[in-house]
This record gives sequence, structure tokens and C-alpha cells, in this order.
Amino acid sequence: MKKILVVEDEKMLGLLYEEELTKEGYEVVVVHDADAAMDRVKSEQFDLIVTDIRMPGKDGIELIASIMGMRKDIPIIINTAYQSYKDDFMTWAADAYIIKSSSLDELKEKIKELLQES
Amino acid sequence: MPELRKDMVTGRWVILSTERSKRPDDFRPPESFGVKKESLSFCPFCPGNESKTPPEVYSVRDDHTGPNQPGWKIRVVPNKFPALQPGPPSTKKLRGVNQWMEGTGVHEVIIETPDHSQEMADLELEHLAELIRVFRLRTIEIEEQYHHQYIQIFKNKGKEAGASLFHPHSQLIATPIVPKRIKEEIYGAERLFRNNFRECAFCRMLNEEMSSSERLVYRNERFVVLAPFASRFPFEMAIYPLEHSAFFRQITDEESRHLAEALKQALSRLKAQLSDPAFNLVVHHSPNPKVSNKAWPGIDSYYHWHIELMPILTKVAGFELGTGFYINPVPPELAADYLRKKLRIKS
Amino acid sequence: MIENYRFQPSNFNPDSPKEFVLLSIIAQSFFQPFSLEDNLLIILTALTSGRGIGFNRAMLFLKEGEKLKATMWLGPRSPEEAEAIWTMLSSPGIGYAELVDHNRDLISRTLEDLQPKLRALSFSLEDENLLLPALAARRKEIILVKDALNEPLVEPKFLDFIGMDTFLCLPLIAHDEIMGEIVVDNGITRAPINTKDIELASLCALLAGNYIYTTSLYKKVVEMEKMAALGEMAAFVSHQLRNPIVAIGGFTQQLLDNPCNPERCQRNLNIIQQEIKHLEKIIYKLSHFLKIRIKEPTPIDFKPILTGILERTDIKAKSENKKISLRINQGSPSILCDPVYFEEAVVNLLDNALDVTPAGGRVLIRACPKNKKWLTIVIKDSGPGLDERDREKIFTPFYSTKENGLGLGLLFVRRIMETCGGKVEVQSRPGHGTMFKLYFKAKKRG
Repeated sequence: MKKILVVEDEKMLGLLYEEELTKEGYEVVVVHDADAAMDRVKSEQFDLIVTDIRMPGKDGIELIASIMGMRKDIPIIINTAYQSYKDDFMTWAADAYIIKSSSLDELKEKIKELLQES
Repeated sequence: MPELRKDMVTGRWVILSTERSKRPDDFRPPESFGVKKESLSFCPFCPGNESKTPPEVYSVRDDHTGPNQPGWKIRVVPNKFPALQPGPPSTKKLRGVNQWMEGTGVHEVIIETPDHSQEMADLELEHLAELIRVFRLRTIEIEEQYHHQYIQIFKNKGKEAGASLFHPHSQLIATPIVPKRIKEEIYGAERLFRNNFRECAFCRMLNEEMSSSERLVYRNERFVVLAPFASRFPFEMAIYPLEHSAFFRQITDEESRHLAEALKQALSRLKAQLSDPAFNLVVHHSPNPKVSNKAWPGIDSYYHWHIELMPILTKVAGFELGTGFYINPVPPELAADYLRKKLRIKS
Repeated sequence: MIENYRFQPSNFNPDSPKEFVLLSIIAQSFFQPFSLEDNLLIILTALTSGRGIGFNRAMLFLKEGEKLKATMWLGPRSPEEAEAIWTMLSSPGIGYAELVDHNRDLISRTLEDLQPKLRALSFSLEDENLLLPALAARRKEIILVKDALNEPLVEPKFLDFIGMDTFLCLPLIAHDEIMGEIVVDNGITRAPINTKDIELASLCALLAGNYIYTTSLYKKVVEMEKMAALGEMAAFVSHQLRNPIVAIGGFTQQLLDNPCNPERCQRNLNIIQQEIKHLEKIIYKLSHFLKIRIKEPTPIDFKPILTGILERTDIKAKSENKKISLRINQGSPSILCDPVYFEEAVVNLLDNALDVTPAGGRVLIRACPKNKKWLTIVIKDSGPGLDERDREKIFTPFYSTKENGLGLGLLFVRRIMETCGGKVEVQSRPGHGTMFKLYFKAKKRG
């Protein structure tokens, strides 16, 4: 079973993603900030990471850069409310950039696609 | 006593305020400024990370290497996350830029060198000339393939200029409309050509600048770097081909080498004399000839392509007082004099 | 009789003191922080300031819509009055600000009786039978009128007002658009208008036209900045609202997919309700924020407000085992700020300070005059302090280190300070607490 790390500071959304992605058949771990995410990535194996950008403390872009410093092959999806980060080329470290919406279909599709590729 | 100057082509007014006599120190930003300590542990543009960029559309690389792997000297890739994904048109009525974005949004990033910290100013001349050739080739290819009105070629360096990554890169965007500033230049040049000079206004200006030389920063056989008479911003520079041409795409290989030299001179001096400031660099050239021939017939007679280089300084800043009026505390003659100082430049 | 002249840039001779002064005055109008009207009046003054420079009297028309309306008239009523003005204007050390003050006086005195007559001088540029002076604007031509009484092209109402038979019409053009017109004459000295005068005047008109254009654009820039701020707000709103909306959407979808699980139902509906309340709070805070309008700030005595804040129940509760030390310097003047917003700004900062200050820690509030113009109020906490990156980010919308923080507070504070003409600064180092400095404009007593 593929294991996904979700980094999302809004607790309700974290719960939603956990439930919905578990239903899709993945093992899901939810953390609420970048530091917690780094701790997990260092100690566990994940097949894919979904992360928000705007978070208290370190933001998602820094998180992605740090993860890339450790291992480059893990697929990353940026999942954010903002368009504007597309201007920041650092986001290219991720494999997809999804704008949050009330339907999780796009996110689920992308996860499936990226996990199939790897 | 402020001095008023008018840019004859664009009609822009500049107020040069020359009250204080400037000491060289006034131009240097404080020590901590510009010293960028990069704490980021990853760069998507560096060699080894080719899989993080979209597949390259062009590259200059070592013979035995294939696309999307290390061994490249210059690499051109499309924007990975364009603002709007190209896709089927929606039922909403879209206009102008949105329509373009819905269709084929051409936005390319040119990664200038595999070396993460090697600035454009420090590139080998041959490499810089090669880079210019890449700009030309991409311009031609995109203009032939698509019907966009204009190809914007530009480079932002430094956070203050809007660059989000440290690794040296430039961008190329095809737009469905001609940017306002370019339009102003084209209209202004055309008016001067028709009503006043009967020759290219820029050529005329260049002749005058060469004879007076008080605003000259550097020149070689084919190109000249000068501080414009009506500079809007402190230490603003422009690079002009001495031979008249409206189309950047027409630059020859030999001219590319001379342009590389001029560009390197301009950038190196900026870097050395003003402590490596952030800057915006933009190519001003004619719109897509397929389009401009109808909209501006005869543009090749009166428009003259050039590069504008605008450093972003904080200690001596100019500002814009509503569109069309600028206040600049550093007269271009002073700027040129400061930038002309003898430097030992690695070539 | 009508004579046409072309706009020609005057060969500005830097040795000539008249031109020097004139252009210096006009160029300054671009920098000086006075209103459009004040600055235009300065330009008129420059044109009429003395026997040596240019003209005696000037009228300014501004284009509003399709009409050219007389807006200002600078005309001494007698040679004696003129002499007094010119003497004053050539007194050494007279600066731009004094000129503005002097003009305001002059205008308010003369305008009462002249206002109705001036207001009658309003001409539609579309009028087929348009006459001078407005005709010059429409034609975008400098026109010198001599023997006006016998000139059929002159508007009688205008002639009646100025009572001179020679005057010069200077359209104010910028970017090929009509901005207005200035009409000048030598109604006191009756001196003839010569070519040199016209050259100089045309340069002034060029500058004045561009100045008006620039100011109108500046207004647009301010509008655009407001829009950009609104755009920032829109991005903020979109983020803040999006999260609850995604939650509501997602949990609703779960219910639709799986309506029969009662525990799930209960839980999801609770979450949805919670998120809706969250949305309400956001909307409330947002509308409150957006309501800050730019009002004319009034001078207030802030001392009772500050002491009052310390008595607030919410502040008292938060400062349970912490110390708040308030010190107000002797001789602190009144400050320019709306009292309600003042309280909001201070409470916001105090609230933050109390949040980060540990038990047993101290928050300092200091008010002291900085110089004659400013008064600073400093709020310093003994919390962990901020590093450089946080310092940069704290004023951006939606930045918050607090779990339930919306991140609007500091933006709010900054907006309040901006609207009352002040500013807010932050100084902080990790391990050394954080200090916020509010700069208020001081109001001289009495």
C-alpha cells in the first residue's frame, strides 16, 4: 500500500484529506507544519507528499527545498489556495501544482497519475 | 535647481534633481545588501535536476549527451506551471491576454549556465555570445510557429527585481499584444521619422552621443553602451547596435559576439561599481514581422532595437511621479563617468 | 485683432534670473505636498509675480468633462494692492510654503465678490460658436488678443470680467489632451505683451499642463494602489475563505456519498457548522477592516485612552500574571488620529505582546514626543523576538504565528497608521523581544 504524507495546517482539511485518501486505498499521515513534516520524512518512507504552501513557520516551498536536499525522487504535489506561487520557480521542485477546490477529484487524479509513473 | 529633460522618442519627461553633489559612497548600498547567502538546499535549474523541469525545447550541450540530462551549457525549458493551463476553450467570453493564455501560452525559461553562481556578467564571452544566439533562435522559431504579436525577452536578477531563483536565468514570453512601452517607442520613432528627421531618430541620437561622448560608458565596433540623455532611473543604461536595425532577430553571429562584449562590459561595471545590484534587463525590439508589417509598415526604417538595463538601487532611488514623469537624482553624465572608470574585467 | 503663436520651447538661459526663479517655482510644484489647487495657484503666481516677470494678472480654466471652467483668478484690484503683493513676493527668503499661505489669503479675500462672476465663465468646448478664450484651448493654439473690444471672436462675458483689451491665451496641453487654459494680461501696468513674454509663458503653460495631467494620473495611481490593496485583500479573502469552503465541500460530499452512517453524519454536520461560523467571523473582520476610510484625522488627547485600555476586561484577563508598565512623557502633545482607531491599534499590539510574553514577563508601553512633529508610542514585549524573515512577513496579510490567528491584526494597525499620516515600525531580535513603534503626527497645543 502506498504511503502519502499530507502537510496541511488547517486541521479540518487535514482530517478531510486523511479520510478521503484512505478511502482511495492509501496509507495517510497528516502533519500540520513543515518541521513535523521534515521529522517524518527523515524517519519514514513515503511514496508521495502533498503539501500546502502557506503555513505557520516554514512555508511549503522551503519544505520542498529541504526535502529535495535529502532525496530528489519522491513525487510532491503542491496543494494551495494561491495562484501566485506559480511565479516562484522554486515550485518546480514539485511535480504538480493544484489549486484547492471544494472537489478533491483533481488532487486524487494527480496522486494516482504520479504514483503510477514512479 | 532641477533640470527638465525630455526623451524625444517616448515623450517622457524626467526631472534631474542635481542639488547634492554625489560622492561615490552615496551610490554604494550598505555592506549587507546584495550579499545573498543562499540557504536553499535545492535548485531546479542546476545540472542533475533536469527531471524537475519540463522537457527542454532547446539546448546547447556537449556532443555525446542527450536531452534532459547533464552536459548542457544553455538550456531552454517551458514554464512548468503556467498561470492558466492550455486547454479547451471555455464557454465564457475571453478577451485579450486571457484568450491567449487559454490557447498557446508560450513562456520559456532560458537557464543561462549550469553554474549556479556564475552571473551573466561573469560568463565567458563565447558563452554569452552563444546565449544571445539562443535568444535569437527562439525568437525566430516562436515567431514563425505562432502568431503572437510580440516576444518579450527579459532578465530579472535579484529578489528586488522579482527574480524568484538565484540560478542565472532569463525569460521569453510571447504575448498577443505589444507592450505599452514598446508601442510608445514605435509611435514616437515613427513620428520623428516622418515629421522631423527623415531618418531613424535613434541613429541620429547615436551619432550625437558618439560625438559628445559624455554619456558613453563603452563602445566597440558594433555596439555602444550609454546612459540615456533622459534617464529615468539612476545608472540606467542602454545598449544599441551602431548599425540600424529594427529586428533583434536579424543579429548576425559576429554581431552577437560584439553584443556579448558590450553586455559583459555593462554588467561587469554595474556589478563592480554598484556592489552587484539587482536589475531588470529588457530587449526592446520590433513586433513579430508577420504582424508588424501590417500594423506598422516600414517599421524597419524608423525603429531601432536595443537593450535597456535598469539597476535597482535603494540608496539613490529615482521615482515615478505618475506615468510619464520621473525624478532621477543622478544625472546620466555623472552615471556614465562613474561607470566608465577603468576596471579589470575577467574575460 | 488676433495673432497666433506657436508653442516653442524657450531657449532657457540659465544666467537669466527671471526665468530661473519662474521655472524653479513651477518645477517645485511637482515636489511640494500641497493640493492641486494650491500648486496651480503657485503657477499663476509665478506668471504674475512682479513687474519684471511676465504679467500682472492671470485666470486659470480647468477642463471638466466637456466644459472649460474658470477656476481661479489672480488679480490685484488696484496698483497699490499689486505693488504690495510684488514687494512681498520679492522679499528675500520667501519660500514655496509662504507663497501658498499668502495665496490662500488673497484668494479668500477677493473671491467672495468675484465668485459668481467667475463661475459664469464656463464654456462648452463642443459649442459650435465657441469664442475666445476657450476657443484657444479647443484649437490648442497660443493666441494673443489685441483690441479685444472690437474683436468679434471674444466672448463678451469674459471681456466684461477682465476689462482689458489685450490678453494672452495659453492652452494647457499634455499628451495632446486639453487640460485647461491660462489667460494672462497686464491689467495694472498696461504694459504691452512682447515675444519674450510669450515664449516664457508658453513654457509655463507646457509645464502647467503636464503638471495637471500628472496629478490626475497620480490620483489614478492612488486608485490603482487601492485596487492593488484590494487585490491583496482579494487574495487574502480567497485563501481564508477557501479553506473553510474546501472543508464544507469535502465533508458535504462525504455525506452525499454515504448518507447512512449516523456517527459520520453527526460529526460532519458539526464540522460544517463550525466552518460556517469560521466563515462568518472572517467576513465580519474583513468588513470591519475595509471600513477604515480616510477621514480627516482629529487631534486627540491619548492619555485617557491609554489608561482606559489597561482597564479593559480582555486586557486585564490576559495580563493576569504579567506586568504592563505604562509611562507617558511630560509634555506629550495631542496627536492626530481617530480615537477609536487609536484604541484598536494599541489594543491589537498590546494583545499580541501579551500573547508572546511568558508568565512573569513584562510589557512596556511608552509615549514620548520624538520632535516637534512626531510622537511615538512604543509597545515592547519580553517574548521570543522575531528573526529577519518573520520581521519581513509580519505585515503581510494572513501571516500569523497564532493558531487561531487570522493574521489581519498588524495589517490593520498599519492601515490605521497610514490613514492618520503616521507609520509603524518594528524592531526585534530573536531572544530580545519585539518592539513596535507607532509614529503619530503631533498637534501643537493651542
